[in-house]
Amino acid sequence: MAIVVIAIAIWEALARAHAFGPTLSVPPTVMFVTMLAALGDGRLLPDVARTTLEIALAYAIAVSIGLPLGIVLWRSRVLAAAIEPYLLAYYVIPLFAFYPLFIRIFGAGIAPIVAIGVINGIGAIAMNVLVGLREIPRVQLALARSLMLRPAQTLAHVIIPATVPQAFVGLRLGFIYALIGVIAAEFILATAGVGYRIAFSYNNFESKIMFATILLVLIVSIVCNQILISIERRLGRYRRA
Amino acid sequence: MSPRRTNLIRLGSVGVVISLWAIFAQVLGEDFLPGPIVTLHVVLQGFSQGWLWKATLTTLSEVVPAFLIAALAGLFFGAVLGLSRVWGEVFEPLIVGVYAVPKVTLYPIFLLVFKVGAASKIAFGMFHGVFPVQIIAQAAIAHMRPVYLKVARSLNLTPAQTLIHVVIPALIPSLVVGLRLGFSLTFIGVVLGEIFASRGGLGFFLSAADQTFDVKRVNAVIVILAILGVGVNIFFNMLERRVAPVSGSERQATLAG
Repeated sequence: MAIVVIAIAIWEALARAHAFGPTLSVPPTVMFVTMLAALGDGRLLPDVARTTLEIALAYAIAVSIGLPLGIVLWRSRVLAAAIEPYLLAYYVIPLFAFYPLFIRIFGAGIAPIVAIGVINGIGAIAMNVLVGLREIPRVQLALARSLMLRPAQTLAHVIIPATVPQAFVGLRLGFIYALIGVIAAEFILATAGVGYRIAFSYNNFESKIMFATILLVLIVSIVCNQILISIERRLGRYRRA
Repeated sequence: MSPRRTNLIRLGSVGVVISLWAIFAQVLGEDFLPGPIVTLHVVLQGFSQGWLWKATLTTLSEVVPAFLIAALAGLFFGAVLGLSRVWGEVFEPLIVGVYAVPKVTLYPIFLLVFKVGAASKIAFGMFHGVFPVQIIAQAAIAHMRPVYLKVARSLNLTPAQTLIHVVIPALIPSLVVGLRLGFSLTFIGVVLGEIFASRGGLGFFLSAADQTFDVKRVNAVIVILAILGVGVNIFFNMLERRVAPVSGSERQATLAG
């Protein structure tokens, strides 16, 4: 913590001394005040609302495809052999490069951006659900059989408790990746949203509002990640207890 | 399932993907979505005309230095933070934080510092790719089995011998994983940078072709990007199999930028 405070203080001092030239010398305090002002007078609100909607949609779709996909791949070894390599390897391709295709397929507007968020998030969700299901100790499934649990009981008392911690890792990463995908997509192709606002203010030399928006994105994504990590820790403890 | 059968299924799945692409192209029309054959034709034409060569070489000339710097910096900081518990804990929240952030939003700052040229792409690609290398190197060093070092001590190895014969071999499998993920993210960072603001490279040609509605060129660039990404990934996967097995969950680690 102290290191962050010292770094920000040094930055503040250098920026106030105009050490980085006119566009870069925005002191952190000014960024923060500009951010609060822009949120307060409603200038940023349309962008924030749109980005929030896109992330929520992308995440909801990624979860509702990724979770069942993980389960299907667990049940079918043929499908797993066919699809797993793609889930592991598609991160190596710059997915954003597909944006012209997505615009052609989904039209302008929020759909292509949501689509990039979805494909960015889906892999982490499906893979972690799959890993979680595969790591259920066999003896627990055998015990469920020997206790003659019904499928619903096996699901409720064995499979779900054993899988939740690892699946939640996927749900957290899936959210972060969907957020990253949406904002990055806005940055290169959208006409609204916080990613667009950063690109637009860069192109128009409005460095104050640019830094304020960057700061907002940093704060929101770090806070979201920290909340999800603390839930994950609780689930981890829950498993060990 | 036998490895042979798995490989057959994988090969078949590639066929299915290409067939689906061809079918969609037929249904939607080649002017809307150029199919595999048309795209292959444009790729070959692009290489013979030279623009695709030039774009690919420009991108590689940015990705390679960015990756080398990211790898060295990642290994160095991973080693320092992995060996020192205190510094490792001090920097952990910072690194976890950066990891959760859409790094592309910081790209304008790189542009303001390095201007629109190769330097800003190299710097941003390096920033994009350094974290997995650093995180995995740090974890590998911090979690190295103490018994290895005990054996080295009981054999009276000198520090140099310990490093060469014990520490480095113990770390290599994880480091290869880190380098693989680091390369992917460096590559993605450079291409993102080129799409947003540049005068050359695959990303630049992609956005230029998109703006002139040249869908064939768009597809040709996407194909080259996919081949580069997947090709390097396959190379690192083969390297991973050679240097020793790493646990499944670590190999499967995925990182997005």
